[in-house]
Amino acid sequence: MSSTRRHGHLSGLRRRLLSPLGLLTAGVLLTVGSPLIFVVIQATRAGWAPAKALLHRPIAATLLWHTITLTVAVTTTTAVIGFGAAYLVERTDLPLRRVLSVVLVMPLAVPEFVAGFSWVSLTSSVRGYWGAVLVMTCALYPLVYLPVAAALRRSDTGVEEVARSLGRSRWATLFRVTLPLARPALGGGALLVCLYLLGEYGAFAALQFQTFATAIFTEYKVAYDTASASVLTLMLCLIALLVVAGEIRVSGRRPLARASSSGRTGARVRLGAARFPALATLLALMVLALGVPIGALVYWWARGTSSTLPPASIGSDILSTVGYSLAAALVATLGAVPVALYSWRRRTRWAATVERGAYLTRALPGIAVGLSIVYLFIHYLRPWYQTAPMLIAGYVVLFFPLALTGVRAALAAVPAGVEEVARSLGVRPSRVLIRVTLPLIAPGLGVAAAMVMLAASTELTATLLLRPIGTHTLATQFWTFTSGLAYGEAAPYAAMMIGLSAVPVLILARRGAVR
Amino acid sequence: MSLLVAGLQAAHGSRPTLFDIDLSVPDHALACVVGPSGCGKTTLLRVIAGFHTAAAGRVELNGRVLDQPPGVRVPAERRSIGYIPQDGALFPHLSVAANIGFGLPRADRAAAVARLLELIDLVGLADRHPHQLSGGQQQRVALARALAPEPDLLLLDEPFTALDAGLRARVRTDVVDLLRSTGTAAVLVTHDPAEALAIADQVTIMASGRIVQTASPAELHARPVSSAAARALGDTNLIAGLYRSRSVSTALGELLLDRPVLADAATCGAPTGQVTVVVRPRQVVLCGGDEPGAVAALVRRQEFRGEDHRLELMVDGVPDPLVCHSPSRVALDSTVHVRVAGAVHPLIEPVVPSAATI
Repeated sequence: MSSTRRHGHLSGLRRRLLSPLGLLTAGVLLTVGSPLIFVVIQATRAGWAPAKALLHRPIAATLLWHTITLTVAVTTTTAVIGFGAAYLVERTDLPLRRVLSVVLVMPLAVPEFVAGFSWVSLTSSVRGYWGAVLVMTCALYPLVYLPVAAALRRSDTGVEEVARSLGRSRWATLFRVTLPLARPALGGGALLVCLYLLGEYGAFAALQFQTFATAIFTEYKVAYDTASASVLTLMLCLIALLVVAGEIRVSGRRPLARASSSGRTGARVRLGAARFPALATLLALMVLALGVPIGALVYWWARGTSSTLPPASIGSDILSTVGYSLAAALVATLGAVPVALYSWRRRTRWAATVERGAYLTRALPGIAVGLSIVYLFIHYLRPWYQTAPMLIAGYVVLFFPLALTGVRAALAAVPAGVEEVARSLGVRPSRVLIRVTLPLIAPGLGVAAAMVMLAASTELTATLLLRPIGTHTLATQFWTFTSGLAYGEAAPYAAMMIGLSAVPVLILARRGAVR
Repeated sequence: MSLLVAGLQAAHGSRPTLFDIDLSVPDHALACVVGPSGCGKTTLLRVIAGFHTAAAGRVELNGRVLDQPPGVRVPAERRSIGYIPQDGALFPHLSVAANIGFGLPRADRAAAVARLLELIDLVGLADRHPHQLSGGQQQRVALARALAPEPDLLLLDEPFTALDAGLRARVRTDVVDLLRSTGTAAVLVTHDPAEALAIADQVTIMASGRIVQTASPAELHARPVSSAAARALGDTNLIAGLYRSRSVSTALGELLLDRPVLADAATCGAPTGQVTVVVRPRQVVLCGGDEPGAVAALVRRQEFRGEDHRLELMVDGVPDPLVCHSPSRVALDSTVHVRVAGAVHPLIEPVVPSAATI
C-alpha cells in the first residue's frame, strides 16, 4: 500500500516539474535571474587581488559609511512620514483627505534624478548628506505611504474599535493595534526605499553625494576600471541581499491582516483642533516633494524659451523612448504570465518559493543589473552588444518584478475554481486559458504592461549603460543637458517624463482607492 | 451503477487524506456525502472530478475507468462530470447565457441555452452578468451551466452553504427538482446531516478520511452501524447495557431490541454480553412515575426550539446527559420520569463506548 502511494506521489512530482507551464516558468526565471549569476562570475574572475586593493583604499570605507548612514536616515524618515500620512488619510477626519490620498502619491511621478537636479538648480546648499536625506525622503516616502494606506483601508477597523472598547486610549490603540496591523506593509515599503537608495545613481550624482552606485558608475564609465566596478557591484549586491534577508526576518511571521468582512468602515478618529496643524504638515510636505521640482522646471522652462526653443529632436527622443519601453513592457508582461499562473494554480509552498525567487532580482540595484547585462552581452552575445535588444533586455530584467506584481494582482481577482469548472464542462486546458483566464486578467495585464512601460521610459542609470550608440531617450537627454547646466533645454524633457509617469501613478493611487 | 469508487486513497502532499474509500452511486440517484469540515469529503469530490490526483484505488463511471493509479488518469475535461463549487464560480466576464452555453459546441448553444433558461426560470435574465444576480439565481445558473453538456454525473460541493437560511431551503428544493427532472446522477457534499436526510436517495457518512456507513436516509437513521454513524446524524443517546435474548438491560430499564444481537456476536466479541444501543431523543418520553419502565431523571438543561423543547436529563447509571425532545416545558432542576418508547437499535461495535472516550 505504501509503495503504491509513494509511486503516485513521485509521478505527481514529475508531472509538476515537467508540465509545459513548469518548464516555461523555469526558463523565464533562469533568464531573468541570469544577472545575479553573472555578477558572481565576473567578481570571481576578477579574483581577490583587486578586491583587496580596493578594500584597502579609504574610498571603500567612505562609500560604506555614506551608504549606510543615508539608508538608515532616509528609511526612518520615509517610514515615519509614510505611516503618519497614511494614518491621517485613512483613519482620521482630516480635511481634504480624498484629494490628499491621490496627491500624496504623485511625487512618485517625479524621477529621483529630476528631483535632485531641480533642487540643485535652485540652491547649491542641498549638496551633501543632509540635502540627500531631504531630497530622497521627499521622493521616496510614497513607497511607504502607498502600501500602508492600502493595508489600513483593507484591514478591519473592528479590532481597533474593540481596543477602544477595552479601555485603550486613541494613542495606545494607534501603537498597539493599528501599527502592528500595518507592519507587513510598512516593512515592505521600507524595503523598497532601501533598495531604491542602494541603486540610485542620478540623484546622488546631481547632489554630489558619493555612494556605491555613483562610485561604480565612475569606475566603469570614467576610469574604465571594470574589475573595481564589479567588486563594488558585488559588495552592493551583498548589502542589498542583507537588507532583503533582514526584512524577511523582521516581518517573516506576518500576522495576516484580517480583511474587512463587512466592507463597513468604522468611525474615523476625530482630530479636533489638531487637524489644522496636521493638514499644514502634509501641505508643506507636498510643497517640498512636488512644488519644488515642478516650480523649478516651470522657472527654467520659462527662462529657457526666451533664449532657446525646445530642441527639434524631442519628437524623435519621445519615439525612441516609447519604442524601447513598450517593447520591454510587452516582453516582461508576457514572461510574467507563466510564472504568476504557475504559483497561482498550485498554491503550494514550492510554487510560492519559485515565485519569490523571481523577486530576488528586485534586490539588485539597477546599476548592477546594467553592468551584468553588459558583461553578458560582451562575453556571450557579442553580435547584439550595444544594440536595441541589449537595452530591452536590461529593462525587462529590471522591471520583471513590477510586471509579475501586476499579473499576480490580476490573477488574485480571478474567482477560485473557474478554471476547474471550465474544464469540468469539457473544455481543454489551452482553451480554458484563452476563453476564461486571459479574458479575466486582460485588464490587469494592460495595467502591468503600462507600469513597466512608464517605469522604463524614465529609467536613467541602466539606459546610460546599455543604450545603443547614438540613441537618446528622454532621461538621457535630460541628463546630457543638465550635466552641461543647460537647465532651460532640459526642462521640457523633465516635464515629459513627469507627465508620462503621472499616468501609472494615478492608476496606483486609484487602485488603492478602489480596492 | 453510475459511479463506482473502490479502494480510493489520496493525499495532500505527504499527508494522506482519504483512506480506502468505497462508494457506488446508482443511475439517476442523488447521493449525499456528510461529514464535518476537514473529513476529506471535498477531496473525494475533487478526485472524482479529476482535479486531485488519486494515490491508489479506482474510479469508474458507467463502466469507464477514470482513475486507476499509476496508469490511468482521465483529464477532467474528458470525464463528462459536471462540477459545482460552493460559490458557483460563474465566469464573471460572461453573461448568463454565455455562462450556460460555455461547455456546448457553438452550433448547439442558442437552443440549449433557451431551454435551460426556461428550466431554471430565468428567461428574462440571459444578458445579465453574474454580479447582477442574487445568490440563489447564481446557484441556479451554475446548475444550468453544469447540466448543459448533459454530464453523466454531477458533483456539488456544499452548494447551498453560501445562501442565507431563508433562501437555502427554496434553492435546495429547486435544485433537487431539476436534478430529478433531468435524471442526472449526482453526488452532493454537505456538512449538514438534516440536508442530506431531506434530499438524498443515499447518504454516506465520512469521518477522518474514511467512510463510516452508506445507506438510505431511513436505514441510516434507524440502523447506524457505529457510534460515529449514530452521532453524525445529530442528537443521539448511546446507552450501554447487558444483552439478553431479545432485549437489553440498561440503566433506563429493560429495552426491547429491533433485531437480535446474536448474529453479530461472533464478530463483535460480545461474549461478555455487553452491548451499546441507540436511543433516539424522540424515543425518550416523559411519563408518570408509576408507569412501567419509568425512571427518574433530573432536568439539567432546557432549550426551547419552537416546535418542542430539547431537554438534557441526568439519569443514575448513565454517564452522559440523556437528550429528550419534549412537547411540553418542564422546570429546570426538577425531577421528572421518562421511559423509552419502541425498540432500540444495537450497534455492531466490539467495545462499549462511553462519551469520554470519543
